[in-house]
Amino acid sequence: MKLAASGSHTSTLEWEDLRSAFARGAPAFSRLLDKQASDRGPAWQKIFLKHLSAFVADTSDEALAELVRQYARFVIDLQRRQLRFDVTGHYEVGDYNQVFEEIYSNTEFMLTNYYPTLFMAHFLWPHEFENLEFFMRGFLPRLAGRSVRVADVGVGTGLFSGITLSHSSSAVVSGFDVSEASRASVLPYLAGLGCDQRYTHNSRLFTAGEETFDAVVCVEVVEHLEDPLALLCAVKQGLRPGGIAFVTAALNAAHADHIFLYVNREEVVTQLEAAGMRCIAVHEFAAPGEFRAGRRPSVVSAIAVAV
Amino acid sequence: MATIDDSVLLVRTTLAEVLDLPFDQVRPDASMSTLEPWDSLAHMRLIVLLEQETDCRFADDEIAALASVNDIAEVLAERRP
Repeated sequence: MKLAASGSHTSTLEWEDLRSAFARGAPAFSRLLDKQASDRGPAWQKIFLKHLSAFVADTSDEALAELVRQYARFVIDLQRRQLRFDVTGHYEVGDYNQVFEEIYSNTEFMLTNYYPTLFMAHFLWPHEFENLEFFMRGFLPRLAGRSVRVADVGVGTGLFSGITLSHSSSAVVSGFDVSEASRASVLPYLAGLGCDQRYTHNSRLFTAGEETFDAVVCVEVVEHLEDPLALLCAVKQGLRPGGIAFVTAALNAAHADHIFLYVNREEVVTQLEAAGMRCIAVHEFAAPGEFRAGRRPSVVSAIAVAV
Repeated sequence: MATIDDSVLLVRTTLAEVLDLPFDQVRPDASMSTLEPWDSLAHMRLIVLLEQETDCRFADDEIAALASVNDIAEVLAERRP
């Protein structure tokens, strides 16, 4: 099964079909789906289904069962790692090249497991959706009313590009990602949303000085790097004077490809300032559940301007 | 092979510890849909503790599918020496 096929696709995903797939295939995870729907209401369901429908190529029962199966596998692996982190306080990987070879270069894994899970996680995991809401309500309105050129650094699944392009009909986005699989995820998804014509994909690192943008989006990338400050300096240099950045970092989140351990929001703010940016809004969204003190996973999101 | 009663007792005891609940509140028919604090992370803590206690290993598909005390206990009863 290919969840993110090349070329445009439109699929209709019904809430009850997705819910049934979770209830049948992964009942241990289906309550989260119901809880999010109950807590956040029809608006959440609507935006989740809109974007997931554009993202998945196949909405057959078999494809949804596989989608749920892969989601469960990813989350189980993550939770095993998280529980070990809760004891040790250390991430288990420290070598970017190793992660690149084992994960980002594994196109099948990226397209069937990694990207679909992370795409859904932005809606299903409460703190991730709170971060997405902050992006939609706190950041995107700052781009409204004018034609904007946006760089999505570490575009991954393409979700934040899709949200940006859906929100602003005058925005154009350049996505950058080192994983070849990203292109195969992003382009069909944006085509499904009908906004791929305003998107350009770059299968490479984002580097400073080539061109400048009105806005740079860099969502949960820095923790994947050995030297996040170098990327943040490139982000700053990629902003035009007065440009604005949306940067997030995962704290205490023991994913298989997280290398740089941030333990509090101050570390993120300090790096942004060291890169030459000034934070005008910072929020931290904490994951639910019981964790040892100081080891709760969370997402720190900052809106920053170049100074 | 452990009896099903032994396994239900072990799962209830371990789950009560994970959820920090009195043992009596974790009934044999408890499931993730009926016991509010039993979320997916608590589920994983339960599985890891049971694996450590019994030397049994749960496959990913089983972890996703087993969402009640009785279902987990049945698998354990089959595998425990």
